[in-house]
Amino acid sequence: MGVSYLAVGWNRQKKIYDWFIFAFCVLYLSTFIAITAISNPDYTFETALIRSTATLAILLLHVILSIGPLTRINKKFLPLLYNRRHLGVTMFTIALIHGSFSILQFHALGNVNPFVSLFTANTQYNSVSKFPFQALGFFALVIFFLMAITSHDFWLHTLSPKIWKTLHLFVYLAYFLVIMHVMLGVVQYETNPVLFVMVLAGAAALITLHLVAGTREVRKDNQLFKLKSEGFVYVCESRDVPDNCAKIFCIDKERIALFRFEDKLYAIHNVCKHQGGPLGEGQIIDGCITCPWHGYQYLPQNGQSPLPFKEKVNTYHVKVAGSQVWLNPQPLPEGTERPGAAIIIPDNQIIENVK
Amino acid sequence: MSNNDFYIGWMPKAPGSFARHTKKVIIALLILAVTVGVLLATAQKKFSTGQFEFGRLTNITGVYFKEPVPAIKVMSGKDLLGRASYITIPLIGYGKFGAGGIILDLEKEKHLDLVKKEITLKGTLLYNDGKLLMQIDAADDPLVSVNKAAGENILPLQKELGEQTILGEIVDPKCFFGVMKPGEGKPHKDCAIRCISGGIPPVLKVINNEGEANYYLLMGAQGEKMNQAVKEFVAAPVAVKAKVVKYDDWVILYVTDKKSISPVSARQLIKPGSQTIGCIAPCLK
Amino acid sequence: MQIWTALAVLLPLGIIVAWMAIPKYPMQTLLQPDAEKPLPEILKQRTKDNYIVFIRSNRQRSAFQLEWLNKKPLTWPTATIYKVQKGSTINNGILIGRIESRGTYRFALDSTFQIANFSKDQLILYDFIHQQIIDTINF
Repeated sequence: MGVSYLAVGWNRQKKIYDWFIFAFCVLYLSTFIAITAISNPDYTFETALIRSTATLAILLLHVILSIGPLTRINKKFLPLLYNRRHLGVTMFTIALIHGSFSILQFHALGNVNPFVSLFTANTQYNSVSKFPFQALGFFALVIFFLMAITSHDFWLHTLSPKIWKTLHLFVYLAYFLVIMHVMLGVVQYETNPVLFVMVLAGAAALITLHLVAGTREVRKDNQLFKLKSEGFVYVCESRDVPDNCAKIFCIDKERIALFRFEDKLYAIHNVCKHQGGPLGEGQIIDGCITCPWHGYQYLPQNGQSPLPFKEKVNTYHVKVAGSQVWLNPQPLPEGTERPGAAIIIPDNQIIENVK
Repeated sequence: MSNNDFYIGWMPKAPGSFARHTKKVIIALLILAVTVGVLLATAQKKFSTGQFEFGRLTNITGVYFKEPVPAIKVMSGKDLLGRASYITIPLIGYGKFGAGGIILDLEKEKHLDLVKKEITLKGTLLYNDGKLLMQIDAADDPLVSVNKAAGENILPLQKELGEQTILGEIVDPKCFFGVMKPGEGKPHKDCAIRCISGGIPPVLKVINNEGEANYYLLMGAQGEKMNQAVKEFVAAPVAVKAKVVKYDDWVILYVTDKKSISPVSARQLIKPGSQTIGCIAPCLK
Repeated sequence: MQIWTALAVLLPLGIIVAWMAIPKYPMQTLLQPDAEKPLPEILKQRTKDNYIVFIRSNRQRSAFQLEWLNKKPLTWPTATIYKVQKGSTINNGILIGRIESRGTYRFALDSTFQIANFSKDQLILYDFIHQQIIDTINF
């Protein structure tokens, strides 16, 4: 949301978040290496390092990929989502240590350049059990690298949110590559089924979480709005929209957030310009619609971020007829000013409020 | 939901309900980190007992042989009948290279043919499961002295054990016997191919039901190198049809050609006790 | 959602195919360095963590044999067995044989290895590369 990209201020929450990531990584690495050393007096530190960083990176990847659906299921996970990119960059760094040491260990000091050796030592690409699994890990690492270097908001704006989001969707391909890297690599060697079972359980958990969260949204999106008049669609009763909050409607594939602020109703596009956060799950704070993901703000009457910020979202016409709220799903150009639709408050409720 | 319950990341503090939930999640994640770490660390296959004396140089005096693989033959003592007994220590180079190149350079530099000469070499030892190898590195000035030509009585004792089909895994002995753990199997496949491509002699590792192992050097039928031919068979189960010759304290498999090595899939495994395998032990007697 | 529906199919498929491809290494009868048959009677036995040592003989006590069951991989460059008189040094020892990989080794002993001499002689497992005594076995 910043207009200039100076060093980001680390507030208290960010510091706690980063300390937690640090503690998580140190705890995992020390546990893995200590147990390896205790149960294997003949262990080599290089192998312990390669394995501990590999498994930590995969564990972090599972945590990262589960935060999205968990937040959609339960908003209390939002604090984990807010600085998720810190987790992503940490995961990439750990994976980079794994990849670098592996390339050094397995390909350096040979008769071919290590990066050439990575793709040409084993060329049995037509076999499953002999497949050159290291290449899969390398491509996953390249995807994580591109994601890590573009994680700053500067790149989000420079590349445009659409391209940025598309690039970051490649994380799912990277996840698939990582799982196959493990399955066609170390699982082909280890005899204990624990690793295999954990990979399977991790994949099953992620798939289930995403499908559950996705199904909920699809159900919401498929809600039918039958009453139509002059381009307007009846969506709800005015009392259904809580003060300073919103209700989200998906009409003709258009996701619209209907906010109530100072007894007027305003409709804006539900998708935040920053990272596509659901604005309708946010609240109005200091007169601004505030995105629940990263706190980006928009004015309800025109969908514009307060100056000096420049983000704008589409707005929509709303009208109130008696207690009924009608929405026109035809988007107005981004940042279009339109008056709020005043809610007609029944006399008995006014008397109640005065009392 | 009241304003107090709305989470904004850029605020210094999270609302109470979010903070409490996040604390629980953090504790759960830390428990997960320890649990996964313990489970995965204990599930690892036991590390091999291989030793690589990295940073420690040892002088070894013995007779140098270029064939079947560059090696130095060292006398370990005399037996009850007064016969000398020898240990053959194959030589390998620095990094992922064989020792052939370094020895050749030393011979050129000293204008000497080192074959069958008693020499003292300085290098790094690596060993496991009764097999000993030595890494020689040009940076360590490995040739300490050239003493004298050895007599004919030092020539290798050879015993032909007939043609056999032997099942096992092709490994590079440098990594397998000490430098890497694991120095075998799929995770190490690329490295083994790199080492064997660099001139380190391939070895067939054979195991029995009790987990005991034997290690056989792989050569071409005429004693030529098989390094390029075996590359595609490394780190996977293979069947090798070869003429078996005991060559002092190493067994050498002379493989007729590349076709004599074939991959073995899990379905094709020949059970112990079948005709092919059953003949091997008696053949030695 | 579409991505995860695709992954819900591809991931289990990939995992199962890879799991089915895990190689199973064949077991093989080994070429033992010494295939000498054991003599029928055990005269002495010593059990250590890494190996069990037997002195075997025939009924006539005309032949003696050292049987060495090596249970664990050696962690020394070399391991040779010498017979040494107690109080003497390894330089005066007689080489009995060498231990390599795990398995059973049998070495012929000369007639000097009589029961009467058990208390005078000892076996030394010696690493002559590092010139250090690995173990001493007294009977």
